[in-house]
Amino acid sequence: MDEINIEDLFKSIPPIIFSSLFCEKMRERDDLQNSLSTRQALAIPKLLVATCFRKSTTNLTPEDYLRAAVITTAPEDQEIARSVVMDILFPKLSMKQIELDLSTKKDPSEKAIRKQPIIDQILEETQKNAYSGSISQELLDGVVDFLGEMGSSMSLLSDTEDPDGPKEKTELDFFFDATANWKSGTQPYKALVDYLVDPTEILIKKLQNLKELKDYVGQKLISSINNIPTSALSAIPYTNTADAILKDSKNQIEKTIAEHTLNQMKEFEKSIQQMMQTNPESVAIVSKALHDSGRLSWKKHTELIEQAAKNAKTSSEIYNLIKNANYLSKRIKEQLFDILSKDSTLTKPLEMILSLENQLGQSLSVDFIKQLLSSSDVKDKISYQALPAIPFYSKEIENAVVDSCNNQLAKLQEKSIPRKFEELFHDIADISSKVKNPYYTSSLDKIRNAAANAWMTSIHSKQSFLNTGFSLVRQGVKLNEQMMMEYGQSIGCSVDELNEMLYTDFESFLKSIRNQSKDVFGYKNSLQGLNLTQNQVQMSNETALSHKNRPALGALASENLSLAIKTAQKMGAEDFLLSSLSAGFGEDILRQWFIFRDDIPSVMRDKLKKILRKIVISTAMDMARKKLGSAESGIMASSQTRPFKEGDELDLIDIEQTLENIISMGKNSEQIIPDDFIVHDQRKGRIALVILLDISGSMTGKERLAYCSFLITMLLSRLKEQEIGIALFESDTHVLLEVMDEKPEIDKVIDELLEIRARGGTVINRALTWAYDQFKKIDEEQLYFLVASDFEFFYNIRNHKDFKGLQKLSPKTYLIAPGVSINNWELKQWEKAFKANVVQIHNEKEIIDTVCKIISNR
Amino acid sequence: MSKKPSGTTKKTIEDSEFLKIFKESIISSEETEKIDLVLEGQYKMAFEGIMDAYNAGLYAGLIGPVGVGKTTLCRKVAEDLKRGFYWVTFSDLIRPSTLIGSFDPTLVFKLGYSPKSFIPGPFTLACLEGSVFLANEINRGDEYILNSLLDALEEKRLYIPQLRTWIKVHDDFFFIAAMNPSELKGTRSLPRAIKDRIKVWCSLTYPPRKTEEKIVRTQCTVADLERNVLDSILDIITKCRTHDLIEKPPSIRTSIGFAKLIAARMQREKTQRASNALIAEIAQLVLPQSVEVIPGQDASIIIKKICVEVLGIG
Repeated sequence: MDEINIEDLFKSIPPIIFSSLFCEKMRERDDLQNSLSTRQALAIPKLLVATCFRKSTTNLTPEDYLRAAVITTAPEDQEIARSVVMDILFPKLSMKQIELDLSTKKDPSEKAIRKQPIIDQILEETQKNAYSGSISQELLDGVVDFLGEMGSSMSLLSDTEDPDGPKEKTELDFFFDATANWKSGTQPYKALVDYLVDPTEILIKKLQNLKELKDYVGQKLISSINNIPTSALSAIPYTNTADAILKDSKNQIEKTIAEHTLNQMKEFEKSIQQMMQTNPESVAIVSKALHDSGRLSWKKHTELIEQAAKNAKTSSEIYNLIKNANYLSKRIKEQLFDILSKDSTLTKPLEMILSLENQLGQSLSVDFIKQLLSSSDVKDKISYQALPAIPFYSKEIENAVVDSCNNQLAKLQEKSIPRKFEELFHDIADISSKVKNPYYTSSLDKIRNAAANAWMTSIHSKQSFLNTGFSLVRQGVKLNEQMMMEYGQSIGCSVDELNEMLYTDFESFLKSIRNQSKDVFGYKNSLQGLNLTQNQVQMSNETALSHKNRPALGALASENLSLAIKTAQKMGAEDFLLSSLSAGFGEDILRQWFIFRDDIPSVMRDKLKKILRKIVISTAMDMARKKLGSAESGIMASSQTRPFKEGDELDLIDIEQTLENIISMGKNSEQIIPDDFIVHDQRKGRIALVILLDISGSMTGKERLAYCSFLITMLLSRLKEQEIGIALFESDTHVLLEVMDEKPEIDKVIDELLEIRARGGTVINRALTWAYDQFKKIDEEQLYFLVASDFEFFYNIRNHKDFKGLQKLSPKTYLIAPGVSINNWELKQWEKAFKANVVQIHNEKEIIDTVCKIISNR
Repeated sequence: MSKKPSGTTKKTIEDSEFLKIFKESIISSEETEKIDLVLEGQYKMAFEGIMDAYNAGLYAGLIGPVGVGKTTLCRKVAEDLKRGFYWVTFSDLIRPSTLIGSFDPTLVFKLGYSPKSFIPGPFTLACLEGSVFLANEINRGDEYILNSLLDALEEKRLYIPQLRTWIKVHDDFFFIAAMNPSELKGTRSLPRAIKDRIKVWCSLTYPPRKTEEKIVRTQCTVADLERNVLDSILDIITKCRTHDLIEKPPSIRTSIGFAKLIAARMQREKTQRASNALIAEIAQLVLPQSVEVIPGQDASIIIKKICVEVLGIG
């Protein structure tokens, strides 16, 4: 009996041969993350045989080989596996690319660069874009260029490859034809290829010509009857599916298109008319699909849309109609505007108009506003809230906004509730910051000032009145002075007080220090509006010291600690100054310390540091309560006991506690139940966090040190020591805390922070090595890596010796960068290397909020 | 007769009535639920891959984000194979005893370690019955817990230490591991020993729009949603998935929930058409909690902007 060679049973590549080829090619790759095991080499043929068993055939398709090879590869390497399989199955594809490159090179001495084969690029792009269903223009241009070059170089290739004449067309040729036509929008390719998962399906399914493509797409459409996606409807006329759809579909849209395809025009007209009445938006879908497939002329298409629009009753219906049809005529526009102008507000209609503008690429909002303005009964709808949506300036709009605001103010005057005026004031201020056209800003400022005046004259409490007035004047609000003076006196304010509130001058300020008429916040507000010279600050300090005014001194020191100290030293009042520092504005004083610490006399340093320590701890605890809550976490197991429950291992039973428990209940052995056993409950915590903070930079570094002090103290108070490592870096790396170390005393950490000095320059590589060492200490748990920096390292992160190690650990990485980070390029490199999230901050204080949000949101 | 708590107006169930209802509600092992799965595209590929793996005697892994249909696919596999289905979602709290089984201490007290005092875990049951076992989020299990599975996977036998007994794993036993793709690397990566024993890796991602539309239609049986409405839902979901500020996009489960809620609202309001305003309103109810945005961003505002882009109304 002849032996049967099992390999002969396979019409395509025998599984074992394929597996060997695949493994050989994979092992040639140096970008694999996992080495190929023998298990995989054995698994591929097993899987292919199982496929034959399932399909009851030995005729395996490219899809079968692709699947077997890809799914037996580790997930991280599946992209590479896919590309290798395509190389094996369609070798001529990449070969043609190489030959073309070599044959068209002008300078033979140039090194031939192997370009990534087109098919790889298509695969890569479709993998990335499979979701959105589109391929980048650049790649498609490459395909078309390639095809063009192939055409012009065909003779060259055929001379060398096939001396007998032109070759038969292969599936590759059809693939390229179809892709090029699809890309250029030529029907029926556009409609048919659109419906595929991606163009490579043509290759995988071995479709050799247009008829096969039509048949294949037709089968897919039939299997989707009732659920044919909108984008695929234009494929119906090109496939022999209309009969099946008419017979089996319950979807009116599908059936209507099928009727037209089969030239059942009476039925089609009837269906369309019915749709016009019940669902005009669907008419647009049908019409567009038929127009796209070439069965309906543009004229007929637009006629149908116009007719459908007449039946549309709401703005949403018209909106959907326009969107589905991708068409907007003057008449439909007017109809839409008409409906929208009846809306009680302007914001929502404008949103809709702007959305259509984006989709259609037409300017609509200008026309809409003009129409509104021409109608007197809608003019009053144009309020300040709509301004951010209006990109252009119009005097009429401005007047309409002012009128509507005056009306609103008049209504609020009737009730005179300070809170309402305050809301209006803040609302207008907020809108003003969002307005696109700056020409509206001055009107808004006037309205804002009017709202502020109304607000002030609704306040009944003298102190509230004065405090609010101070705050408003310092924000640049122009209060009506006469009105304020009259009203202020009517509620008991003195002329002096009112002058201080309204007039930001130095004499008044000094007077307020002498009179001790304000609290620390009042003095701070005044200082911010005054812009005092050095001499004036000194005079203020002297006045505050001589009048023993702690709040004033506290406010002055928070603006310029160095000068306050010098003045105090001259007057022999250092202790008094120090006692004033705790009055408020701890953050400012801390910032001042970092900026001026070298100027502070040594005799005062220790005392000052003691005060600063208290400030840091109390401020940090307060922030921690608000931002991190009271939750505790830790990665080390913390043990607590509880009753046994099913699933617990008996090893966890605490015999002593169990016996104690049973004895205390007076139970005998027959009465014991599982709940009586006490076990240790091992719980694990949540995060492990390594933070690198860049403190280089002459000013930003010092500011950052101040906020870092609060941040670090907060974290130390809330997270267990085992799960946090913090280092500050500049030209040196200052390690504050290492993971797994015993928790240091907070006082010592703060002292260390207060004395850290940046020498200039930023050296990241040591900090990175340290960070990697920290991560290596942590066995499990989710790792977080936070880096706050300007990223001005001028250092290629990929050259770092521990880069690959860090990358492999894949900590969840956040890069916190100032909004005007200079080295954006480097930031992007880090972002790419670590697949990091970039968080832009606008000032150093935001570091605290950002880190807290990252920890809380994990 | 059970005592009614004072102040209660609702009628409480009598004890015997409760037992009756409880017994009627028990799902027997013979009952199998019909799984509605859209088997096309990646789902078809994954399903066929897993079935081929089963026939080839290989174990399978499923990689996919949350809510993409991994568990449903595995149930479908079990249904088609006419096998039982057990699953465990791994976490820090899972111990070997959760999988293999534990001993009732009171019975151990009386009878010692014996099969009578042993309560088998789902993994042991699957091994003995020849059922399908899904290890969900397997990478979240501690290595020493995963090691307790190795013998069963490779040697086809399971050791119960307290009984000092090896038990044979049924020939039809099938193991599937599922995990999240973002956790392929880092400290959540699967130990090599387990990874190597899983020979087939099927990846699922958020499906192409065409497939998702089908899935939503299949699952949302409350009402037949108009094409327009479904298109709008999918447009919104698509934009969420490609938005720069959204870190974790909505799952298919969310798309289904979105569609179902709209259908339910239409039913309640007895309306045939879902307006854009309704869709936008439901989007705000469903989506902000279903996505994760990058720190500092507000999910509701992002969803509102997306709704304005798609529906013209926020």
